[in-house]
Amino acid sequence: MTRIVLLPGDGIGPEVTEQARQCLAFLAERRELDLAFETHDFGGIAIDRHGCPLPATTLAACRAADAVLLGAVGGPDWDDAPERPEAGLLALRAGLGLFANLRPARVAPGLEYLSPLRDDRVRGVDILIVRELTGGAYFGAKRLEADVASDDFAYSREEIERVAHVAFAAARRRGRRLTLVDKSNVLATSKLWRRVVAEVAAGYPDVVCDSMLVDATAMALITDPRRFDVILTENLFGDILSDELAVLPGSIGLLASASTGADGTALFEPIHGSASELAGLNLANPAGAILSAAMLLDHVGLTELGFLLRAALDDVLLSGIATADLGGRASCSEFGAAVRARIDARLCRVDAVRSLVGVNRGMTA
Amino acid sequence: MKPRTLYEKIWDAHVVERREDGTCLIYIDRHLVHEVTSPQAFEGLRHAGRGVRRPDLTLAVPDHNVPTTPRVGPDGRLLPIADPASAGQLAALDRNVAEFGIPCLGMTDARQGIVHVVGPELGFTLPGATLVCGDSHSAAHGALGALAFGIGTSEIEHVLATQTLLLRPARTMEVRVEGRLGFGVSPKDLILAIIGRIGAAGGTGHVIEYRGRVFEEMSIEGRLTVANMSIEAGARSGLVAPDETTFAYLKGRPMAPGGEAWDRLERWWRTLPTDPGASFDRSVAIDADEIAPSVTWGTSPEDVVPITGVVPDPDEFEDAEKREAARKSLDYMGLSPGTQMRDVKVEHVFIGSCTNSRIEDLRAAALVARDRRVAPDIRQALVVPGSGLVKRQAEAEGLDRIFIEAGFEWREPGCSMCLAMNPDKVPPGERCASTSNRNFVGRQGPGARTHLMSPAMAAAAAVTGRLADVRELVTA
Repeated sequence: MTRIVLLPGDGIGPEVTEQARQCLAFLAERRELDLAFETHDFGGIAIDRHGCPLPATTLAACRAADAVLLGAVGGPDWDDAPERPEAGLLALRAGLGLFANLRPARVAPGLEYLSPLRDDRVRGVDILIVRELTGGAYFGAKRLEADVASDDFAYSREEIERVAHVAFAAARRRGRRLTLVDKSNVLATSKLWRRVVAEVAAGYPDVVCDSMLVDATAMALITDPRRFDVILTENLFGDILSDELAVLPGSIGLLASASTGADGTALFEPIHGSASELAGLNLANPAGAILSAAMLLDHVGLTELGFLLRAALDDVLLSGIATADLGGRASCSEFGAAVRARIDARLCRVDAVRSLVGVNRGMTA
Repeated sequence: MKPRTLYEKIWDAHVVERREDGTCLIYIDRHLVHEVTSPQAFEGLRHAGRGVRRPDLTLAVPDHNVPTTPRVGPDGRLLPIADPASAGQLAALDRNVAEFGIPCLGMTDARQGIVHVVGPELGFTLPGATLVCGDSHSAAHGALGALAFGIGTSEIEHVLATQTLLLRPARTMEVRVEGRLGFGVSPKDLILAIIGRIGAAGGTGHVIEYRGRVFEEMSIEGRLTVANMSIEAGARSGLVAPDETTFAYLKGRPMAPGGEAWDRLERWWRTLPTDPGASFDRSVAIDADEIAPSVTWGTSPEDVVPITGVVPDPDEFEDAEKREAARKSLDYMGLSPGTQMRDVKVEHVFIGSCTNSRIEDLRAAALVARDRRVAPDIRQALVVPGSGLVKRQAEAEGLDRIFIEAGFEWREPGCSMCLAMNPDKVPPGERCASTSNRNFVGRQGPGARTHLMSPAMAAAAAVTGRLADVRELVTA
C-alpha cells in the first residue's frame, strides 16, 4: 500500500488538490494499485480548527506517509493571526527533515507559444533547480536594530554534501549535466560550496559539472536557457532563480515542486500560492497540482504512471484546453476531467498493445 | 577453505595443469564454431594430420556471413551467395564439419542462428562450464553462469585438437547493481550505463561478476544482453551466478542433460555462487534508479548519454586524450555539441545482433511499433531474429505481423547489419539506430554512423525518424 497524505490547505488549494487526487485515484483504479489517501488540516484552515497551522496529528500523519501532496496555504483571513499559515510550511519542512527542493521547468514541444520569451529561445527547455532548503541566510541568526541589521549566512559541509548528492543523482537520470550556481567571487560560503561540490562530483564522473555566478545565471536563464540541465544552488539564490525560471513555461500555474529529505518522505506541491480571490470559483489552473502528483508517482516508484500523467497533461494543453490564466475558458474541474480522459485514452492503447505482445520478465519497456 | 568467487570456483574446477609462470591449462567443456574464424584452424589441423578431440562438445553454426534474405529458391535449392569471400567461408564450414564429424546447424536448419543465441536456447551452454568461441561477444554465455571467452584462430585450432586452452588467471571485478530498473529502462540501457561509468577499458584484465537485486530479478534474455557486452567494458568475460531462473530456463532444452545427470549437475551448480566473504580485486556499485533510457553519441560504447541529454562538448572533458577522441568522434558522427539527442535524425534502424535479437527484445520493440508506421524518411528498418527458433516463436506470437504492418523488414536469422560482413550494410554518412554492441568507426559499413540503444528505443527511432524517448511512445 502507498500512503498519500493530502493537505489541501487554503484558497484554491482544495480545488486543485482535488483534481490531482482524482487523477491519482483514476490511475490507481485502472491499474489496480493500492493508493490510500488521507486528508488533513494544514495552514489557515488548521488555525481556524485547531489553533495552529501544523497540528500534531497532521505532522504525525505526514511522517507515517509515503508522500505528501500539498495544495496551497495562506490568505488575508489570517493576516492578523498570531501565527501565520506560512509558518506551518517551515514547521512541516523541519518536521519532515526536508532539505532539498526540486523544481522542474519544462517547455513541452508545441507549447512554446505560452512563454513570454520567443519560441526559438525556449524550444526544448528542460531545467531542474535543486535548491538547498534549510540553511543559509534564511535560517541564520538575525539582528535588527534601529540603524543596523544583519543576517548570518552560514553553511556546513554536511548540509552541502547531502543536497549535492540529490542533485547529482537527479542529473544522472536526466541529461548528466550539472551547474553549481554561487557567488564565489565574494562570498565565503560560496567558496565552501565550490570545494565540497567538487569533492562530491568526483563520485559522479559521468556527470559534466560546471559552475556559474548567480548574476550571470540570472541573465543566462533568459538568453540561453537550453544550456542548463540541473542547477544546484543554496537557499536564497534558489528561491530567486526558481521564480525567474517559473516564468519560462508561460504560467506559474504550470509548475510543480518536490521537497525531499533523508528518510524517504517527500512533499509535493504546486508552486503557486493560495490565490484567495479565486477560491471556490472553480477557475484555478490545476496543472501544477497534477504535475506535482506526477512527481509523487515517480517518487514512490510508479515511474511509468508518472510519465503517463505528464504525457496526458501535455496532450490536454496541446489540444488548446486551458484555464483562464492561460487565456482559456476551461474551469478547474473541466481541465482535470480532460486530463483523466487523456489518461484513459493512453492507458487503453498501452493495455491493448501489452495484451497482444505479452509481458516480458526483466524488461519494463 | 578460503571463500571463493564464482569465477574462481569454475576456474579451479577446470585446471588441468598449473605452470610455473602462472598460466594454467584449462579444460574446455563447450566450443562454438562459426564460418569466419574457423577455416584456418581446420586447415591447420589438416596440415598437422590431427583430428578434432571432442566433436561431441563442439557445435558449428554459420552466422556472420549469411544473408538475411530468403536462402532457398522456389525449387527448394539454396540460392547462391553473391559475395565470393562469404560464399567461400560458408562452403569451407560445410566441408570442415563433414570432414571432422562436427555437429552443424546449417543455413537451412530451423535452429540456425547467431552462435550466442543458439548456444543458450538449445541448452548447449551450461552453468559452471567453460565455453569458447572465435568471437568477441562470447561472454554472453556468462549469463547462464558459464565461463566464456572469445578466442583467436590459433586458439580455436588448439581447442579443436586438445579440448584445452592455455590461459592466465584474470583479476575479479564485481559490478553490483541494487534498486530497480525504472520505467522504459532495459538491460541494454543498464549495460550501456555500466560501460559509460567504468569506461571501455574499465574492466581490462578482469572477469566481471554482475551481482545485486537487478540481476537476480532479470530474465535470462536480459542477462544475456548484459553479459554479451562485457568485452565492451574491456573485460575478459562476464558472469551472472546461476539461480532458479537459470535452472528453469535450461531444464528440458534439447541439448541440456536430463534425468539423473541433470540432478547431479544442479546440485553442483547450486554450490557455484560466490561465497560470503569472498573478495574481488575491484568493486563497482551502481544504483539502478539513476539509469535512464540511453543512446550512444560517439564511436566507443562508453560514449553514452541519456536520451534526454545533449551531444557533449569535447571541451568539457578534463582528460586531453578524451577531448581529442571526442572531437574525432563528433566529426565522424556528424554531430555538433549541445544538440539535443532527440533532435538527431536517423535513416536506418537495425533490431537484431547477439546482444538484442531474442524473443523479449522483439516483444519490447513490437510494443512500440504496434499500430504505428516506420517514419517516411527511414530508408531501411530491419528486424532480424537471432535464430530460427526465435523467429518461429515471434511468428507464433504475431510479432512478425506487427513489424511488417508497421513497415519493418522481417528477416532470416544471422548477424546481419551488426558488422557489415554480409549484404546488410549502412551506406557511408548515413545514421543507424542499432541494437548491436559496437559503434566503432565503419562497423556497420564504411562511413556508417551508429547509435547503440535498446530494442524498444530503436523501434521508437524507427517510428519517429529520429532518436526518441521510448517512455513517451509506450505511454501514448
